[in-house]
Amino acid sequence: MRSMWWAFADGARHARGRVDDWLVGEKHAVRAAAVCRIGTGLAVLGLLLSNVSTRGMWVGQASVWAEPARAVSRFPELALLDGVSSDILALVYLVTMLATLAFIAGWHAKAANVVTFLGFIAIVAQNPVVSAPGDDLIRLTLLWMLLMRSSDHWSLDARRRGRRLAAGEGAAREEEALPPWLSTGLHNVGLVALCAQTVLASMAAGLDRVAERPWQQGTALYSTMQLPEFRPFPGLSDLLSQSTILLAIVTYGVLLAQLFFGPLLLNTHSRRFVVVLAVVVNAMLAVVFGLPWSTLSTIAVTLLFVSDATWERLEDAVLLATQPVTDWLGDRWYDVLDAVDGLRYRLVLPAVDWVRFTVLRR
Amino acid sequence: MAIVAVHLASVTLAALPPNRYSDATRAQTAYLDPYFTQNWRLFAPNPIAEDRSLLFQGAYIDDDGRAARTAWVDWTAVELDLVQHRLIGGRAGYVTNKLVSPLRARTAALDAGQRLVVTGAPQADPPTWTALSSQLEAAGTPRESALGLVRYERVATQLGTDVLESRYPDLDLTAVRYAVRRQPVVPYAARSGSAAERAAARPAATDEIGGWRRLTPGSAAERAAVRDFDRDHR
Repeated sequence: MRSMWWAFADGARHARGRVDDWLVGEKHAVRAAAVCRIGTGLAVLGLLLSNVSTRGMWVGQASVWAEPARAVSRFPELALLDGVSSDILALVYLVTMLATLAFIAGWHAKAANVVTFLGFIAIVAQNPVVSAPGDDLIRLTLLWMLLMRSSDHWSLDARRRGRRLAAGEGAAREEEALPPWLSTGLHNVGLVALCAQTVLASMAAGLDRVAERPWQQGTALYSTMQLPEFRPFPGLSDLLSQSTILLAIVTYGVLLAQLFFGPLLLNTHSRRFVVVLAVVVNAMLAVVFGLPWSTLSTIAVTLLFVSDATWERLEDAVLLATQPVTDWLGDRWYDVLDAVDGLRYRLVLPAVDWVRFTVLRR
Repeated sequence: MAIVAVHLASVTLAALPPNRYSDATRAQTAYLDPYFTQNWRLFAPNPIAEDRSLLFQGAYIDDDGRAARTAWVDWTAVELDLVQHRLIGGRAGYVTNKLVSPLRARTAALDAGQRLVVTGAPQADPPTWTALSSQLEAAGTPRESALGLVRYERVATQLGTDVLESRYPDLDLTAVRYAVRRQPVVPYAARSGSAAERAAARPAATDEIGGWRRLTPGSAAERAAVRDFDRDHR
């Protein structure tokens, strides 16, 4: 009995050591985090841009019908736009869009993440009546990404860091604010939490559906396809809803991709399958039901489950495939610089000389 | 990491479909509101199977001094212009469609007498909001329910007033009311028929018409936004 206890204690100590090593040893999924940053940022920017012309009706002074629902919301950020004029709304809207653009480009990504998070809640939560599950996912993603290092790759921050290191300088002060073990630990904790949140969202949505007969029979999405607000392309909706097989494929595809998303992540091969399935299902939902931004935010967090090795291979493949184009663009860019230089010599410098020798000499 | 693990357990309890364990731990998971609240019920558990529209009608005195009514304005149809035939629609395209549920939920809880107070207000003399609240409470509606109902009635009336004033700028409107129109979609069994057959198989629309309310115009900026929206999408 005593030896069993020691074996158990030893096993627990060993497991804890491995968890500690995993947590503070190195940052995991940094490329996937960058993809998630770009995808989530695009979803926020797309949502804001596609509603910019009707922002007054959506979240501005003409959104009076949302007042009762807004009154019970507890987001402190709502106070930012409480009863403000359309000019202030436009300003907050613009600042949030610019911060989101910076977040996508990875330009001072952490600060941009904070501003995007606050602006997104201040704007979108003004109108709980027309909120979508994608809004919750974006909010949670932005929140957990505050802990993560999402701009270590494919960002302007990474480019700047690379230039500094090449020049023999250290990292920027804002990047050294935390000791490496803490920065790494926070990134990994945020990553685990966001991945768990993603699995949970799929599982909760799947469990909600699987108990209902229309989902079991593969016909649940039929009625949604008939609603005018969810059939942006009536021909496509009718094509899918009039075919028993296509309708079943779509309905079961949604159900299975959500219900088995978590379990299928446990094996490398099944993980690849379920990630591709989830991306395809969400792309289909985006087009059929006209939900591009909600589905893009889901795709962004789903891509967290693609390994960094795969992203690296993909990056190499893309760079290789686009090399002729980038070379051509590079050559054209030099042509442009040459042309600008030529204009400077032919037009600007003679004009400067003329001014110097004729006007100023007097 | 332990804190995150406990937090994720709380999130799991809060996000799962309704169950006894989530109910029992509601007090412990209350801290999740607002930042960690989540709802993953898109098209679930049972997708909505009916079109829902909000319509507005105005009352006015015509040139002969008689009480008259405008045609019904289907505001939901105006909003849907933002959604239909567009991959990237706007959130303002779903407004009244989503407003129908809370509006109906609040009247569904009323008994026949209380419902008569809500729907029976006359065109010639619509009640003030205070009078409507008092009448509801006198009919036995709990104060909180009455306040919630009046709050939604008020915002629907305010939107209706803005819409009708935009649509009929030359009329001297005296009252406004709304109707909720519901029409189930074409039954699944009839989905393969021709367009005419599907239209014939579709159950008829039903209208739930509210009582007359006093004009409740919004701010100048609000009215301008509604007017611009109506002009662009009607």
